[in-house]
Amino acid sequence: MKKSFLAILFSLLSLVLLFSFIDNGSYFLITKQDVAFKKPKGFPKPLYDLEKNKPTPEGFMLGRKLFYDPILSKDNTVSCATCHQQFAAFAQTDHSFSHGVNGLFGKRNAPALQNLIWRDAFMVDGGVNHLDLQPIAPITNPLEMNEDLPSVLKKLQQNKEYVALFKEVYKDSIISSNHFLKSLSQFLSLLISADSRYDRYIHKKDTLSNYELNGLKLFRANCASCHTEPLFTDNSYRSNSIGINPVIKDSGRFLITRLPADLMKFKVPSLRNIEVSYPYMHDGRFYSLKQVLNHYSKISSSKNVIDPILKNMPVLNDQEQKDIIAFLKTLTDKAFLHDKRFMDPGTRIYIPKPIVKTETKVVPKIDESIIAKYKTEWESVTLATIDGIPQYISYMDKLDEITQNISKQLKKQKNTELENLRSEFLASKKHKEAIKNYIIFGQPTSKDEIIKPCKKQLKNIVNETDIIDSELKGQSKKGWVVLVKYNSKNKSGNIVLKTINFDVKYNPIEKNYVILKAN
Amino acid sequence: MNTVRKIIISSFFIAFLTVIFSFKSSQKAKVSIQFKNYVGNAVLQLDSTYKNVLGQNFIIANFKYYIGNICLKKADGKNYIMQNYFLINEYEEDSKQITLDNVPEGNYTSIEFIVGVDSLHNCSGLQEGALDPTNGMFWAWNTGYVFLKLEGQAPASKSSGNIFEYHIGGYKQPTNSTRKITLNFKGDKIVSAANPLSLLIKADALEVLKTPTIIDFSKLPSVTDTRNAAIIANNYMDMFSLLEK
Repeated sequence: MKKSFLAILFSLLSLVLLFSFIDNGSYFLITKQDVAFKKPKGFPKPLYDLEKNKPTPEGFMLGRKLFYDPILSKDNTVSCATCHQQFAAFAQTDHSFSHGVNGLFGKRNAPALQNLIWRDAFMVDGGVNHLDLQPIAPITNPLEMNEDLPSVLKKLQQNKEYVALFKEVYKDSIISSNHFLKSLSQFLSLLISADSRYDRYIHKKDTLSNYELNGLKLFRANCASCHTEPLFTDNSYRSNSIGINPVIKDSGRFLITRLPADLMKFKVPSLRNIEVSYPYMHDGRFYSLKQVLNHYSKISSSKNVIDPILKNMPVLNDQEQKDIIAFLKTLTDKAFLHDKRFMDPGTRIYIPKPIVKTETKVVPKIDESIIAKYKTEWESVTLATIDGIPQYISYMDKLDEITQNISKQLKKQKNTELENLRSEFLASKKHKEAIKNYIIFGQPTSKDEIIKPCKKQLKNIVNETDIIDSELKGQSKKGWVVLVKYNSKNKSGNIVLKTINFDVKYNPIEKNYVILKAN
Repeated sequence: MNTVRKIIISSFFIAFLTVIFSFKSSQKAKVSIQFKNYVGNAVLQLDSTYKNVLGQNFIIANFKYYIGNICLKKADGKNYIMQNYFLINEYEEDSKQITLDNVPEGNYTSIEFIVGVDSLHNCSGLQEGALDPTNGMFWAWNTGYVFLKLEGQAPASKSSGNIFEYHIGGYKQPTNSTRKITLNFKGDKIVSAANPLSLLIKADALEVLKTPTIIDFSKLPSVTDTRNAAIIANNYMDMFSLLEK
């Protein structure tokens, strides 16, 4: 008895905890401060022009949603985040090659995505020359997302939520390649890692151990000419003589330039967050930093070294290698790896809403007589008829005018009673019927406008002179009823008077009258 | 009195003339350029069978190319330059018609344009309109536009489906595939608002396969990156000519 009571209490408690966690969904909402770019101390000027695509909270959130959405792949199974995981600095942990659609393997190790606005080119071969154009490569690669750009845009265009989001950000409900790619860039450009222990040591906010400091010293002497601080890359392409991968046969930069000198050259990667972005090298062949250090330590004795800078690489002893690794681990930026801004927004439907500040000011109550005045006004609006034709437009205009007046009043003074009154009017039968009737009957200037298409159709069967009379009889549920009398010869050749009934409906799109039925 | 009147009248006259002339010189003329695709002397019909100079049969399934930096040249060197790009697509009639609305009046001697997209537009990120990456003329893995696409089938081609495909691009030296085309008018063309110019340009797909290098479908059925692109680019240099309307 006591046990079960405890169990219930415990599960209730955990539920409360769970809900309090879910409710604390503040990471869904991004503020202006969250997307404001602050150049990290000591970093150079970014190469990406943020002024041309300045992140806004809505644009950033849209880009993030796209980044985490498998809709970008052919069979809706692979998202950018499939191969770029935040906890691995947006590389993919433990995968030499990542999985694409249909269980296919890509041909290169997914690189970390960080500090992209300081990159002059993308991909390990530097084939892509602009951040905005980079996402097209994995989206269209048959081994990765296997999609094409027009098809992605079509899928997004068919998704009401995306249409609403794009409209919110770009004031345009047509989703263009430009807006699509710019949104992704707004997310990608803010993936900035500059708050590791190393950074805090440089800015004198933290200390490093003696091993780590020795590692930094060795690093600066032997590695930093390519892995230059503070970005830990010099953005160059180099051959580190690891030899061609016999399976994928990737010749690197050569594929882009076709220059023999560029054979087996790959972009020098940044070493920030290197601890979590394993495996290493363009094909992910090394699973540990120890293996990497081992490779460079033996490199000067190797015969096929091409890059002169590596020819002078000293042989590092075990302790020296350990110290360098200890230093490399200080480049892990926990704040970046756990930054809530970059997390998966989840599958919850996000509808953009401006953040409403709760005001403590007491709103004065509105005068009852104003409410009463609006109500009488609303009730007194009647549908006028001129020459048998109901005047729907002026009727709707009068109703609109009243709701607009309420809206104006609301702007001056926030008041729930007024707000309720407005929505009550908009949902009222009177208002809805006016719209419905207008769609069915339209607003003809004269009866002739409705009768005309009937006569026109009749002219296909009988002579114009045989049409004796036409009359607008009234309205049915479906539309106007028109009666036309005409002379017709019967089988025995005698002329008889016939009548024909037309159901005529207004077509609000073409703005004309169409015949629904004739009998 | 008389001289004063003369001065007034003549000054009015001069002012009048100035107004007329200034008005006249600021007039803009319309120039329309129509591209018409041919194979040799026959108007290109997609899916019709043609022969190359080696006698190999082929059909064309797709023919597209970028035209840009259009320049109308005057004898006095005051040229009209337009920096927009146009994608001429055999499948889309509208794409073959270019209209320039604000061409200054004058005597024009020739038209110049490039086939391809200059390096600036290949290096500055997202582009719109004719250069939108959704137009199927964009290399995602090696940033840059495909300048000219000629695709089809030839029994001589040994690739699967007997396909031949020439996707020519590349804006970086040494494989810059943009080519400048100059077409001289027969005598000066006097262009004015009242006398708009309309040009008909023949684009001969057979020339892409002919001079200076004869393309053998059995040996070179496919060019889809900067390798061998220069061969085809040199071939399309002479594919354009002016037709008298």
